[in-house]
Amino acid sequence: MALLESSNLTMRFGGLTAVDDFNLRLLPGELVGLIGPNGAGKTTVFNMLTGRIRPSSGSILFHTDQQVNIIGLKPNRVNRLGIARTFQNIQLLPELSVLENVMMAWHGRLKSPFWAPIFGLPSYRREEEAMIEGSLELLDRVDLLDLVDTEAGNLAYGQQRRLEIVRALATRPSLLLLDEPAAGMNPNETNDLMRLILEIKQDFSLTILLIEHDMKFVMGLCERLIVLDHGVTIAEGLPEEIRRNEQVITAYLGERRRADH
Amino acid sequence: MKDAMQYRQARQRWSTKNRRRNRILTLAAVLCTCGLLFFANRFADEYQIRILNMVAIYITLAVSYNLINGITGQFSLEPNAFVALGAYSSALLTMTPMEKGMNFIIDPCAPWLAQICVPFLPAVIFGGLMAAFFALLMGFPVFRVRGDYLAIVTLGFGEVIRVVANNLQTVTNGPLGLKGIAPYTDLWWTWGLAFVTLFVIIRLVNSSYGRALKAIRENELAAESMGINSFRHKLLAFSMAAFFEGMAGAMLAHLITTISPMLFTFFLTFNLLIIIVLGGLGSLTGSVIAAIAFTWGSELLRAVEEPTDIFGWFTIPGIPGMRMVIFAVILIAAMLFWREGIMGRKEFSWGWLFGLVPGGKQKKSV
Amino acid sequence: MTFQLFLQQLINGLGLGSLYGLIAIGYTMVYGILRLINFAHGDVMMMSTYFAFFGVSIFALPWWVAALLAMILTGLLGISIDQGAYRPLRRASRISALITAIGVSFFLENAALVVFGSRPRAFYRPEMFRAIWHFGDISLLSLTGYTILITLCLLVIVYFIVYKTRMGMAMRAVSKDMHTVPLMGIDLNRVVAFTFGLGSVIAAVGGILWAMKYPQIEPLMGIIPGLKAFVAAVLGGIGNVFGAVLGGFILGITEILLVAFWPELSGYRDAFAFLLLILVLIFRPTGIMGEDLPE
Ligand SMILES: Nc1ncnc2c1ncn2[C@@H]1O[C@H](COP(=O)(O)OP(=O)(O)OP(=O)(O)O)[C@@H](O)[C@H]1O
Ligand SMILES: [Mg+2]
Repeated sequence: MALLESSNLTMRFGGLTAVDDFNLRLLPGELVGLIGPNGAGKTTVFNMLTGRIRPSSGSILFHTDQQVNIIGLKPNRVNRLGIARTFQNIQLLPELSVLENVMMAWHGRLKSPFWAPIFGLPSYRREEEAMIEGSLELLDRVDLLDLVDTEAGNLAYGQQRRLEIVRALATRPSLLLLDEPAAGMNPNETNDLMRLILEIKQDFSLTILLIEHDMKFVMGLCERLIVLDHGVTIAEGLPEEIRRNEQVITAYLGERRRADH
Repeated sequence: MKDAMQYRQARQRWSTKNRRRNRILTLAAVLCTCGLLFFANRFADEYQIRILNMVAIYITLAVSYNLINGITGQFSLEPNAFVALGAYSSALLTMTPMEKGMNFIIDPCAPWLAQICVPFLPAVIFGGLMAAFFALLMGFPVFRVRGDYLAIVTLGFGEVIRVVANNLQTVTNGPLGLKGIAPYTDLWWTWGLAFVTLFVIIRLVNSSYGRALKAIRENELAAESMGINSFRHKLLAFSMAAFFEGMAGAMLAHLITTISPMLFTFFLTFNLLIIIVLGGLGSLTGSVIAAIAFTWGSELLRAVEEPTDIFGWFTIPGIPGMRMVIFAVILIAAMLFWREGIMGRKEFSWGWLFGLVPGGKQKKSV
Repeated sequence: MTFQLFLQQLINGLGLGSLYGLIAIGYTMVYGILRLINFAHGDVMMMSTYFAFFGVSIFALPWWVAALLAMILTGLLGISIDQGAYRPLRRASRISALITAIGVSFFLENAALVVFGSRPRAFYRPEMFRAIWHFGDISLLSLTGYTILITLCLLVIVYFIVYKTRMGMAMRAVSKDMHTVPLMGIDLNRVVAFTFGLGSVIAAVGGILWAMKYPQIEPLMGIIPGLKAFVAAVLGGIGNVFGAVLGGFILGITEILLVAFWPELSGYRDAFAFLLLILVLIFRPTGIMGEDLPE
């Protein structure tokens, strides 16, 4: 049984085929990397998997034994099913505090109706307490505890990335999608991040799919890699195999050559 | 736990420890206001009482309006429409069959309506429910597609209410409007409604629901990706705002006792827009302060429309309609140069007040 | 109802719809580029009628000179509203710009009330627009005929500008993605100013024709046509100039036919556009000719 399976996933924007016939099978507990040069369609894959955009064709099943169809669901529904993500260009609530940023991710699971807090019902108060408790615990994991009252917009870059990760965790996902989590981090922070990812994967029994340009990071962390180029899957396999794959090297070389000009 | 100390501190700051103290202080403040109202009721003249009533109604309206515009960030232009709905509903429900007979002189009142006569409170609540119902009806298609059409849809709705009030002779009595509405509204009712509105909306905003609304305002993409159903929450905020605006409309009808379609023009909405902008979009405290200041200030501004005598030397002729021009200029200037308004998005809290007093040890309270 | 009468109403509807369409073009272009509902657009149209009115009545200009001058002045008014009130808010939140737009609209209406007075003024209808044309049993005011012709001509001109000129290409690029445009060497501000100018000039044409039709003007005359023109723009597909005119035609025709078939509903005529807007939002939110806008 696979946790997530997509078949023949295709996304066209006007004349541009951003993702072409993408097939993905994620087993529970895997840590898979999705790599490829700029504009390869990686983020587009995430957008399709989370309901942000509707694929032009193809299917996505979550929990293949239960055949949960993701296509056509709104992002909030997809999240409630257990798929959480972070964003390539950080999407926090800059004017709310760090703690509120995490607590907000609890809201989708809230059982109390809107009038419960208005009348101060104990059932709501218990939920709110649990929310605070849980959020603080999560923030403690990423060393943001002393910053709970800071506005999220005032955090340093690396801290914002970590905050986004715990916010995603707060939605209690079984599948976590990380879009370039190490972007803009220095080597030290990147090392910490690798450790953090392994830790949370263990503790929350997560399946993780991540996009990253930092090859050392990807090779060191991922159990399996998928390589996209111009929307097409050009290789798939163990990090070692990918490192030696001719086609992949050409794709990346092409990219470097383009960048040089 | 990596850092037990820090954890405990953070835990405490966000805990319920000071809730009891704050609750007592809030209660005391409410009682003080009640005391003032009591004195006003006995000693103030009719004009002053009228202003106090208007202040309360404006507080109710501004706080509700800010819930959808400022807290949720969905720009709407509806208050005049919902106020009209609430006013007409409540006025018609409380009129006795005989009063209706006296009002409807051109066409008789519709038979299903003519015999209805209910007490004040149910009528007010019904006024609110009517408004909330129409809010749901409008919000449903609008929030489903594109939120920024809300402004134009609600603006159009205000026109429609006017058209219907003018034409539905057997229900609204057309352009003649309704006269002799029972003057039930007094300071206790208007301020009572203002306090209830404040209580409900502040509680909502400070809860998990409020966080969801703010999340939608700040970053809808993120909010939805974290499992928040933005469609439902926008509907919630919009219909709750409408509910209180409708009730405020009912209060208004029973305060001025004569209503007609002419009364509920866009000018009312415009006033409220100025209030919430000057107070700070997204700050309920700001809305309250600005509502008080505005009601008072706009009374002063009446002067520009009346001839002014300068020491008996010469007279500046009043310019009718000048007030509205000034209001428009204020709003545009505020948007261009003072977008934060009085409070920005900050709120008053007792903890903050204690922080101001030297020796107050609370750094921040919730 | 006979077929003749139906045709007659159809033409009347087309005439009214043309006016909505002319105003809707400005709405749709500005929304397409800035995602801003320019609430002041209807009031800009109102101002154009006063410009023309004073040109004829005070400066005793020939009507067509007054009309041309009014178009130019209205264009300048549109540009200065954008530069003065909207431009400083380009980077602010969308709600700030919308609030400012409402403020500008309210300002124009009330300043006009103070300066021009609330009394409606009779608007001059030139000789050539007074004739009655007969086609068989159908008779039609020449003004209506000219209105439809002028609308179609303007549509061709706008089409040419939007699709065949450099400026038009820039406009379309901005409407696709405002933030990449500066990278392409296009001066964003000039494009926006041009859009406001063009939209306002076309609204002036609509306004002057509108004023000749009724033939009187007053400071609040822009509100209802403004609202309906926006409905027309949404109906046709916001961002699309053809859609705007098509939406205007549909709105005008249905409105006229509705009143023709059910005269007892004529009081609710202004409410009809609103109902239509809600229906469009429910059943075809992108409008007839609209494409899905990227988020
Ligand atoms: N909403 C959209 N509308 C039109 N084109 C889009 C859209 N989203 C993505 N694209 C295009 O699809 C292609 C793939 O984009 P995508 O963001 O998925 O690339 P990526 O692999 O994530 O690249 P990067 O490494 O730079 O993040 C790009 O050419 C992009 O311009
Ligand atoms: Mg990407």
